[in-house]
Amino acid sequence: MLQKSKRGWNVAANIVMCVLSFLALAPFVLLVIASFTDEQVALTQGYSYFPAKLSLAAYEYIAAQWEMLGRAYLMTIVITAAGTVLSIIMTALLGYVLSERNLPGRKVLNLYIVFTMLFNGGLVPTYIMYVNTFHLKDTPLGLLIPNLLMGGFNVMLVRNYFENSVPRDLYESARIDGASEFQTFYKIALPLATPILATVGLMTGLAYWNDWQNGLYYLSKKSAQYYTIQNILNNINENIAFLAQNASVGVNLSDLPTTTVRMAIAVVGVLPILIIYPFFQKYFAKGITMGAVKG
Amino acid sequence: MKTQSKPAAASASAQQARKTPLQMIVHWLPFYLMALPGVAYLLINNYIPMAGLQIAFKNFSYSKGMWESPWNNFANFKFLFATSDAFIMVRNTILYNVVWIALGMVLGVTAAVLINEVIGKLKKKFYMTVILLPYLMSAVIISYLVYAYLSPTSGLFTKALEGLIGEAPDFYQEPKWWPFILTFVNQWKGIGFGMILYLSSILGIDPSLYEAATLDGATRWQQHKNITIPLLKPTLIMMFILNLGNIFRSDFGLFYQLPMNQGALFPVTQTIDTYVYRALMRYNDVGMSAAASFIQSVVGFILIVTANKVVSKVDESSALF
Amino acid sequence: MKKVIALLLALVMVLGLAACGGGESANTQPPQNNDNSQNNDTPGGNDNPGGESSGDEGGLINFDEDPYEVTIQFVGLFEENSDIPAVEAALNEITLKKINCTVDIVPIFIGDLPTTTSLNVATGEKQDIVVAGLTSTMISLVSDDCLLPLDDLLAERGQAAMEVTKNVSEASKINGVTYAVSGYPYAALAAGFVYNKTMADQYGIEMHDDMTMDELTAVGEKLKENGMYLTTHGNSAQVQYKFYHGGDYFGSSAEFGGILDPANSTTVENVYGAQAMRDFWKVVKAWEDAGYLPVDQLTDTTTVQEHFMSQHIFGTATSYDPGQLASWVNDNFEAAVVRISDPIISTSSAAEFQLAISAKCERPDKAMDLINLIYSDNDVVNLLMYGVEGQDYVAVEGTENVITRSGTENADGNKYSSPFSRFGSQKQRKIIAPMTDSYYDELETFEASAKKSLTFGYSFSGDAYSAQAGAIASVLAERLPALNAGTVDDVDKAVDDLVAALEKAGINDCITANQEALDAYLAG
Repeated sequence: MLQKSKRGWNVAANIVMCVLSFLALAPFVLLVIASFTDEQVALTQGYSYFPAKLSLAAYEYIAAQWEMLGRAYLMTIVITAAGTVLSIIMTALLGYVLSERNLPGRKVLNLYIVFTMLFNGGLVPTYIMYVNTFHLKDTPLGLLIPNLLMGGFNVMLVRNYFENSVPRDLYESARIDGASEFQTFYKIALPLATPILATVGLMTGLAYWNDWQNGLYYLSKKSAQYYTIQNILNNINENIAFLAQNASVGVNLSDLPTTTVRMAIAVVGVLPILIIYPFFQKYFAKGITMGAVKG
Repeated sequence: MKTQSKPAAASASAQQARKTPLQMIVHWLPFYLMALPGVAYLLINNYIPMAGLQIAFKNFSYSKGMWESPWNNFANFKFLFATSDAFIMVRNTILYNVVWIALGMVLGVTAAVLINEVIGKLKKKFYMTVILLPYLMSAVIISYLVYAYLSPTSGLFTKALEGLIGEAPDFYQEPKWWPFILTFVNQWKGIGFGMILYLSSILGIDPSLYEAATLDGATRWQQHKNITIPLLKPTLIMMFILNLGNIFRSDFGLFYQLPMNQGALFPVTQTIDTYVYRALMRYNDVGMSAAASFIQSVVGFILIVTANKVVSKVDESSALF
Repeated sequence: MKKVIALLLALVMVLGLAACGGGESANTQPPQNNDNSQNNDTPGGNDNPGGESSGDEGGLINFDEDPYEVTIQFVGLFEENSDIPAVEAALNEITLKKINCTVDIVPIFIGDLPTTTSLNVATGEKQDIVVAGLTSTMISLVSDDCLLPLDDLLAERGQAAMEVTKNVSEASKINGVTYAVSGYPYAALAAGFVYNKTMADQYGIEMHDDMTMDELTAVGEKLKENGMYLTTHGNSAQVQYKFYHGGDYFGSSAEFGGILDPANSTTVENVYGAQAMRDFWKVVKAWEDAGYLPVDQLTDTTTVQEHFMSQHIFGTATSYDPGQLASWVNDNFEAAVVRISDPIISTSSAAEFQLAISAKCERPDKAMDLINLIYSDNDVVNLLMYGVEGQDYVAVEGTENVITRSGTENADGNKYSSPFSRFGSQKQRKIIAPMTDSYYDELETFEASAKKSLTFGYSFSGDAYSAQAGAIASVLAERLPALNAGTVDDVDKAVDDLVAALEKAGINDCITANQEALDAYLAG
């Protein structure tokens, strides 16, 4: 009876997931095919799953920048990795502290964080501060630190998880065993929070991976060697937007793939995430969580 | 650190009461130290630049800087009220947000519960990867794809409709479809994120609860109703309150790129953010955009504080602050 | 978001101008002599006597101090511009001797231009010579306090710059104060229609100057018989009318009103309510109904240029000057252009490309020295415009000033080029093939044939009316594209609705204020 119920759920779940997967996959496949479609065909007939003519022109256009792209991929990976690790540590620490219900000043601290999610000073003051006070201009730190390193939303998620999913007695028993506060955090709390930290890490990682604004503002021609993949792709994208708008550039536009290049850019930007993400998913699996630690 | 925690947990505060101030400091110091990196980062990244909020009330001059620029009181706010469409854009912004917040929770939790029921690691991984795909696409790309489906001449969906029922609407000229299209795309884009978010909370639920329920003969449905949902409640409440804070903001890319800037669709696609963009794109006025953002923040702040008050009356432990 | 704004702004401006190619003084010797810096060789017959001596004027230039490095914006796309150091080196040879400074060419993506300029002012990062008028109007830079007033500097050390741009200097002034120097001193501009000549010959279509809308309609009919579209207007919230009939408009889409006949009138009106505009839209609707325009114009993301180049449309209305055709030349077919309105010299054309000095410039005197040198030394101009001869471009044999990039490593313009930078006057610049040496004469003739707008030099600072302007821009974004594309059901009703909405948004307040300011300007 119970087994039956579980199997029933499994079937239902599979059906729903298949529908969702189809809805997600169908446009993505169209995106990939569009990136291989001949520009003229795309222009006159629109995108289709079975285009009349295929072409590699979009990828050839991107590949022309390959030398830069290689270095930029590396830069992106380094920044994304560093940013994500730092972010997880800071977020987990702060979230953990806030989940301590008896902490004096907890309410103020919570408000302190929520407030940052609502109000922001805008680009100009942020830029002035980072450039004039912290001298981040033209350094890789300009990619790492502004805006992306830690967000109030993630802190709240982690705090909420510690509050609701991690039993406090586990901490108490650790403390009684003579663990310091930091050891309690590191040895007990952190492993228990793997699922939420994986979620937060994923979101932060994606934010770093997809970011081009920091590169735009905090890098210049002097520091073009630090450009990330998104900076390059964004540059190509905007380059095309302008070439398309202005015929006086001396490029024969009919030979230049414009919309298909954007599709190709999207594919090139997403692909690495798709490769890395499945490895990341083990942290979403049950097993390292509660039961295991408790047992 | 003057604020003493309220005697929520009686025993703990009794414990505290017995401590001298020095003992208190020694006891809590490690916690403050652990919070320090995050607190310091927010101070630098968020609070110091908040001096820029005054730009909303100033006639900003780049060479004078924000402190020396002259005040112009509320002049920067005027443009928000100069339009006769103010009602429409506020209505759109709020309605879409309310529907999407609710729908996002329902669909996210459902998807999370269901994927947790899938047996087989590989399948699970596949679903999780694929369903997150839309989250990774930019608004521009999505707008191209939507157009590929809905274009009046070459759209895949319009052509299919024509084949099936003989005719298809001109989607880009008829506003009535867009509340549904926008809602669909929004949920389609967000469900992967919602699923993972709620899944991580579900994974945090003590498995022994389910085991006990199973022994008691509870069906899977009952287990979800009586264990999963109640235990997700704090997360849901928190998500709800946080989302309320953004109720005056909208996903600009979605509302601007997706309808391809079609004037005929403005009645259902104009939001506060798209209006601000359209009104200011020619002028690039820092003061005016700061003013718009300021109003959005203030409304969000009032809503969050109010919602938090209400929640804390009902259930102290679910309150944000 | 900022970036998107800047980008779209740039798109609007660029599309609006689709500017001409370069030019150079007809009597300049191409700088073949490597030793040019020594010669002080502004070519004979130069029309700017002041610059001739800029290197020699004792007292003005201090040759004893360490040379100051002057930065100058080089606005472009994402060209690699890897030849910049070579260009800088060649420039420094000249500048060190003449004005004791070195040059730092700072490439900037056009979409980032306004943000970069203003953020640099805000932080005080090094920034000397900036470009004004391109993508953001000079008046907005001035109201943001980004630019330095130049009158004293110009009088003291900018004789050549003043002389070359004297005909259009009013366009660089706001409330009587000069903030910039025009890079487009031959400022006459008309409306034109660029078309596919190969196609015209094939279908027996005759195109000529001063074509009327009716004649264009006849062309559209002939094209339709051959299954070809006349043109496309896209999803445009601009004053489409101006590409066919010219006119002077205040604000980017006549938010502050306009003058349809600027050579004869100084009355600012709500141009959207004008009968001429209504008639124009009726013609466009007739075109749309007759099938001369592509369906899907409103959702089409393909640009007019792309449609034209890939021969999906016959032609497009655009701004017209003697250099205009260069923008449309391509390998697939022969392009030609006819003029369809009278040429006018207006504030907006003169103010499109200007050089200005950043408000936080450390050494305004040195920046002005370089600006002045640009207007007096054609070698400097052509180095900045086209790079190093022999490396970035070569002269076309048998011509005086025609150059080409093909055959060099810079053939694709990636080593050194910028479609958006203009230095010096059109007469100082070389020109790119297939333009010919006759360009310089054509330029003179065209300029002489143009009437000056009665309001020349006047520009309206909409600062006090930005609230209304925002609401108006939103109304235009909603209602204008359908009218421009001819897809409305009833033109009269659509126009009446548009005018009513504009009035509700406060356009009449703007126009009244604009008229008052204009009257005061004309009186003073």
